Amino acid sequence: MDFEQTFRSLYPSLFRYLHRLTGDADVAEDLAQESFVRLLGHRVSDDGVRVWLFTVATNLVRDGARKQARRARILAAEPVLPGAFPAPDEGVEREARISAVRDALGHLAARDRELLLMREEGFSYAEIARAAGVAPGSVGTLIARALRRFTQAYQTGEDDG
Amino acid sequence: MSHPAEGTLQALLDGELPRADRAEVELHLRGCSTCRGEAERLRAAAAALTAALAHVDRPAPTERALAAASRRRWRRWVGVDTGQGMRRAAVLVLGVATVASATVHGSPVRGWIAGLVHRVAPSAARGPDSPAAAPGGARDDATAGGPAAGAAAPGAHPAASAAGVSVLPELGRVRVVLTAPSPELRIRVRLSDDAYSDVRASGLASGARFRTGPGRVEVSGAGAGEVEVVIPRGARSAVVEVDGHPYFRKDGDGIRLLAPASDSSGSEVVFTVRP
Repeated sequence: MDFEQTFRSLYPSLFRYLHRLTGDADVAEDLAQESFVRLLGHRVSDDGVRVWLFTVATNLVRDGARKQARRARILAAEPVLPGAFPAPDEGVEREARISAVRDALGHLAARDRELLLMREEGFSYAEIARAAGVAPGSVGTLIARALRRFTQAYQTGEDDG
Repeated sequence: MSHPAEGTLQALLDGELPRADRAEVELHLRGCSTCRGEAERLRAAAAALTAALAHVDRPAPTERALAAASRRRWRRWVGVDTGQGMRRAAVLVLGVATVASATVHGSPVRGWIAGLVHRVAPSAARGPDSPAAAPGGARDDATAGGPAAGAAAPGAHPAASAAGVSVLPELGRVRVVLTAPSPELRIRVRLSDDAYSDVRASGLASGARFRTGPGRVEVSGAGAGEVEVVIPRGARSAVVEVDGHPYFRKDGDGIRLLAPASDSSGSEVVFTVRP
């Protein structure tokens, strides 16, 4: 396995997945790099590298989410000050659209987000089942339900906006 | 056949249904408008998701990440990250080579060491308005007699001193990391048109220790004074984090406050570590 070639081939997809999953480009960058560095210490078949990386990255996100959970509960009670550092007008619409997508993703359970985003990266149901730790026969049902939940949340957000 | 389950229709759309099942479900769909409608709803939902996600995507920083991963790969190889013997062996070889080179008159290593000695001496007397360039695009300064890079001067009253460093953004990114600060520390974040990101500790915080790297400042052990962080408006992204928790984030022109702010105005915001 050529590390540099593997990196160039798989990094964009892993970064996109992590950025969509966490909503934070810096966190996505850190976790993607950590996943690749961990790959150096493991013997993984060429065919299995992609699923291995996404599995490790997903677990890193879950670990981070657990650590942040308590802090998030505290911050949820504290409103962000309105009006500070107003964004330029031209960015407002784009920010609103991004915010609507992130809010809709935020309404999903973590597992549902992972399933939908792995599907978006072109994983097969068998690969999704392995990476997300669910039964292969349940993937179609779980994805269909997650899609419905996302659509409802996204439409509700757009209607409210 | 009876109406196929929602998951079966989804698997059909995703090309995941075994050939025999697929033929049966497709036959059913031809004669069942209810299931055709359901399949169309699933197809539209998937398309909506794909279109929505495209709004949040940004280009992957592949080359920068590859360079960083390659550095970490090298560090692993020499054992810096793993603590393996290769690290000690490399350090020993480098140490012996450096000492040997330094003893030779006219050698580059000897000249480099002499240059370092000459550069360190005047930096302690430098004022905040006359920063000198330091390795890695950083500059450091201290007032009221405090030595560079943060530690308060022996005998000086900490409330009367200030210390700080400046770094240039690395590929447009700045990261300011505060660790183990006093709960009463105030963190003032200000946007500026300056190219540098300045981080200054004053009052009881001036005894903090500073470390700099490319586009990165680490401040540890700041006391119950104030740390002012100046973020260049031109920085593509910037983050100020405290003990691993982001408080302030700038992405392009967008600003996000991720911790409760105790005060804010048009171009600056103030946090207290634990309000």
